[in-house]
Amino acid sequence: MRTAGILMVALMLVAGCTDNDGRLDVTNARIGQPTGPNAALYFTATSNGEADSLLSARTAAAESMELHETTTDADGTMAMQRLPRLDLPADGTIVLEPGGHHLMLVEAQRMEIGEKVEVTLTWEKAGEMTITAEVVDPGDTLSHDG
Amino acid sequence: MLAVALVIAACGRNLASGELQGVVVDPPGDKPSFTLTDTEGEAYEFASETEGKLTLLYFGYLNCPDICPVHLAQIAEVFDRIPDIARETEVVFVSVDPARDSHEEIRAFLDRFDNRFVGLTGTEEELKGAQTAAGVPPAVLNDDGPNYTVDHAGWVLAYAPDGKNHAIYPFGTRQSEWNNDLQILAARE
Repeated sequence: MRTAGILMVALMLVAGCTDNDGRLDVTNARIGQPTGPNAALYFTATSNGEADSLLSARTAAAESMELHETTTDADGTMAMQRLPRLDLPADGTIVLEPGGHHLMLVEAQRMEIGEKVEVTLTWEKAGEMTITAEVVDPGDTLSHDG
Repeated sequence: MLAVALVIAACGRNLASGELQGVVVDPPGDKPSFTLTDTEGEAYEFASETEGKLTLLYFGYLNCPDICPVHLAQIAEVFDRIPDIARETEVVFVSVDPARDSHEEIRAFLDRFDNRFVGLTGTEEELKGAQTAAGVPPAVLNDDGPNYTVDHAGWVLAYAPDGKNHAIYPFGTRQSEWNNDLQILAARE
């Protein structure tokens, strides 16, 4: 009985350790300090198990959030397409970065560089997941720079 | 002689490689002539105001969080490293979204990067004319709600002091590439 009790507590502790049973990792979450009404959140998401899809996000730091992809057509025109979801392959990675995908913070609040902003991501399978993004200079949102 | 060679070698780290790393325009294009309005409400004739100067021209809008601020932030950061060239360079940002981007907002936006950056805007017709004169596809304002998006040319056009467009810089241009190319272009008189 006692062993069962300890096992239960242990299982509960492990289950409580992560929001998503460790299946999803979100790293390098950063928001470019807004220079206009909107801001952009970028991060890398890795699946350590089954596939999932990012459906939406919200934050107290903006009125709403939208998932966008920046596209470039043959004549060099750049456009933003709003996407209903972003698929994360099983055991795969998706990278949200400038010029690619981003989560746009619509009507963003004033933010200082270095500030930490909480964002709740909603995944189709993993459900809600709260991450902390750091506010950086827009030029520092690029992953690599020479 | 050895001393001179050593000095040159030591300075070599900061000297341009000699080759442009941007997308080279061959043959080089002419600097366009167009008149728009600056953030003080004054008329600004692009070709005459930037004559004889290294000039960077970019068309964008303020509601764009992904491309526009990153391009300008990159340029501003490179300018910190090459202040002598920065002093002689005119960076001109044209907002293609005058319905949302007021002169004051454009000024505040640009001041975030460098208060020497020039901000221009105009009527829909003037903007179309300016973009066409510069050889870029005119921006399209989408009909997708109050937070509408704008499709626009993503590259920066660079004109050397000789008045020619020698290269364009797409989104993703690295600071090292700007650093290299601005030094080469600054010398083309």
